[in-house]
Amino acid sequence: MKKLLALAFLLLPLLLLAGILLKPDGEVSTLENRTLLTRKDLRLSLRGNAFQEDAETYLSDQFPLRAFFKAREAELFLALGAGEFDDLYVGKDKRLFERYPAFDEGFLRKEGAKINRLASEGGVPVTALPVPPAEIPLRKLLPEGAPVYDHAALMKLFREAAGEAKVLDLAPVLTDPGDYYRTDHHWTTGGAYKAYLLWMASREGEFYKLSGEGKADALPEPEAETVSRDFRGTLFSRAPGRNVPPDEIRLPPIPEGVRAEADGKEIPFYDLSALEGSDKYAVFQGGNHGFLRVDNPEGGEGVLLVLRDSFANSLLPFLIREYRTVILIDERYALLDPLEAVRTYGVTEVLWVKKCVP
Amino acid sequence: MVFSSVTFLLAFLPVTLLVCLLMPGARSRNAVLFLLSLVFYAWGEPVYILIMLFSTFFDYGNGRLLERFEKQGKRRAKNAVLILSVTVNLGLLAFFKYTDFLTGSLNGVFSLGIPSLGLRLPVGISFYTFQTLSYTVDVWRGRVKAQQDPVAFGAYVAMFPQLIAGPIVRYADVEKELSERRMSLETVWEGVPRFALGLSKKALIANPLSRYWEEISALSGESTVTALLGVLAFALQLYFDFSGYSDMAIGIGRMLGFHFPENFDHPYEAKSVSEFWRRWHITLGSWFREYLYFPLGGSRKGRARTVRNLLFVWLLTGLWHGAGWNFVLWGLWFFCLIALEKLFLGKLLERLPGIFGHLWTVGTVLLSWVLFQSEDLPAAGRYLLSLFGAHGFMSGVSLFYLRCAGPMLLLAAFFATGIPSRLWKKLVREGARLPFEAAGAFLGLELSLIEVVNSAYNPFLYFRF
Repeated sequence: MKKLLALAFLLLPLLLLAGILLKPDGEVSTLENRTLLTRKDLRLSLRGNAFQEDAETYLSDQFPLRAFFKAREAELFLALGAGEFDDLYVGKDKRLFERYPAFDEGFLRKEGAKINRLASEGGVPVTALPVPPAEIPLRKLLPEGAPVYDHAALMKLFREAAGEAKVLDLAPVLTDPGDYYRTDHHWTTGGAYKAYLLWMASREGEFYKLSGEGKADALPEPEAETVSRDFRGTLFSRAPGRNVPPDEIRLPPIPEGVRAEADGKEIPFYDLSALEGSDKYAVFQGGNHGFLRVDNPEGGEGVLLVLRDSFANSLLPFLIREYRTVILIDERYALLDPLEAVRTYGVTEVLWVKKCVP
Repeated sequence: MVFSSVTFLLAFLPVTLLVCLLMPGARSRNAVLFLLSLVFYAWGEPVYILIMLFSTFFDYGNGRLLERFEKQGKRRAKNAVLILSVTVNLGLLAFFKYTDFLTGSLNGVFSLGIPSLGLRLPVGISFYTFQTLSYTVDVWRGRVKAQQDPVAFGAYVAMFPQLIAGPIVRYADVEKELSERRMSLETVWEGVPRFALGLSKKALIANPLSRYWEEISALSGESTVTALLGVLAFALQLYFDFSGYSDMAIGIGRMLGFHFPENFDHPYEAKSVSEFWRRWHITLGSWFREYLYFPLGGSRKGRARTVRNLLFVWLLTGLWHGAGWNFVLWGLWFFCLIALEKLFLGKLLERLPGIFGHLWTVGTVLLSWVLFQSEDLPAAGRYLLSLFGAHGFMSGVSLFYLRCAGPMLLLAAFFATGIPSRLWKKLVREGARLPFEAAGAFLGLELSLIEVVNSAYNPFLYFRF
């Protein structure tokens, strides 16, 4: 009997290994919303630890039923009422939050210095909209006592670094649970609209309105169309349990004639094909672009430059109503000096909108 | 390579065991073991493997020389070889491990500005250096015979089960088994439950617990309860991590036909700090006892000498764990406690009900872990202040961690005691254990494998040795 057991102990792992090596490699995990390492990606160099790391990643990524086990683990922990899972907070109704115990001072100083320079040398008004992660304004929905970073301290530091640029605080505004997705780190269309209103209210001078006259906060929210009730976003990918309720995605209407161009090629403003995949947030302009230019022939006179990350994707449907041209630069993907862009494109206003904890 | 990785569990371990099993005798087994252990080591440490190889063949040579000089009656030459071996071995260790600590401290005191070398520590150097030293000293003493076969000696030093994280196996412990062990499917099975236990300890308890110290020590101004939860989590994580690794080493050793010494014996059940250190990292304590404490005279040369000897041993034990002042203080902390116990406290604790000894031990050991694991002395100081109520007794954050970590901590604390193992021995008699052991082992292995696949790389804490 002991001999049989020993044989089982020795041979079962090898069978598993054979299973991994003999079956064709999976390229993508839709549940986890990421690509998997395949055998052609293995770095074969013997220098350093590259091959060893890749070998381990390969075996984990291609492990049979890997996504199944990950989902069951998430389900189990969430069903047991865990307050934390995979470095996420799990709040009321299994709402998922990114966890930020501290903020990145270096990032804030660097970004602040950038917009300060733009404000003083660019000759155009510069406004910053640092977006807090959901855990800050929706603190009441977190598990009780969950530690979060000091947002007041972050805003103070950022304001100091931003100098001449105007900095708006979204934390008092985005306090409705509907302002953020439950399974994704982005704000919802509703949250983006509130940010848009805050920004509009802060600007001086005339602005073009689509409907009616009056002050910014009297603008009614446009009728947005619900295009998906099955959105499971970035946070779900880390806690892919079936017991996590999905989100809805709503798309506001955009003016006729709006044209979007990314890196020289025309792209759809709303990429509806993304709704069939797992990264549904990419319905907004097809995802991240280093350089995106959107023109609205019915827009106002101005040219807006947006220094952004993916949060601006769902803010854009509102922004584009006000301008003839909106230029969006994601500095993670494009090496463009904003000051130069101001001069090249005749920019009349600059908006910086990024998550304040990268 | 790391035991808790898919590469090791699905590829390296089964292949190595099968190949060793198929070899005809101890000599060929040693050769295969040596070679594959080098692959294991080089997998994670492709450059510094040369240092380990040097250390190995250097002391192999020293062993042969010592034997020759003994036969020739050349005592002076023998002593010279011993001194050479000790100097070179300790010198290598000191160079890689302590140079920057030394220069940093000198810089701090004398404002010298010596640049640091920034050397990475060769993995396992603290372990294999002590092993080869135990060999040369024991050959010099005549305790063991010099190993004639370089491959066998290489297998002893490089053996992958204990090379990077112990237990510290003295040559004397395995001298016979190097040439005379049996390996069969039966011996393989005999090691499986132990190995499975160790892997489960690491993957299912230590890894999940590892987040709490990290999270809590990064907060500032925590309340007493929060700080306590953090240090408890660390105390249990470290125990399950390290004892889990030792279990895996002992289990694999058993599969290969070796009987490695035990390294942990439910240390948190100890009723005194002295007893704790006879149950925690047992092989380190006995190494220091054998090769430092007793040669210095132990406790047989009067009180003052005893205290001096204890001081030496504990300073070095602290330093062995890391190149930093917090480790020195950590060692000194235990020196004070153990000296106190030797002088009068030990007898007092024996006369009091056991609970006092338990509280004394757990309390002082928990405090020691704050020193051990804090980034630097000021951080340790801040943590201790929090622990003693500088920021209040309890807070919202405490409730959060009580809820998140509480259940896991209770479970871990329960399994850290000897209760489960005593229950097991009482409820299931020896002859009937096989089905339960088999079921438990395979379940543990499977769950651990899933956990390893699901989680990010989670290295072993004692790897900076």
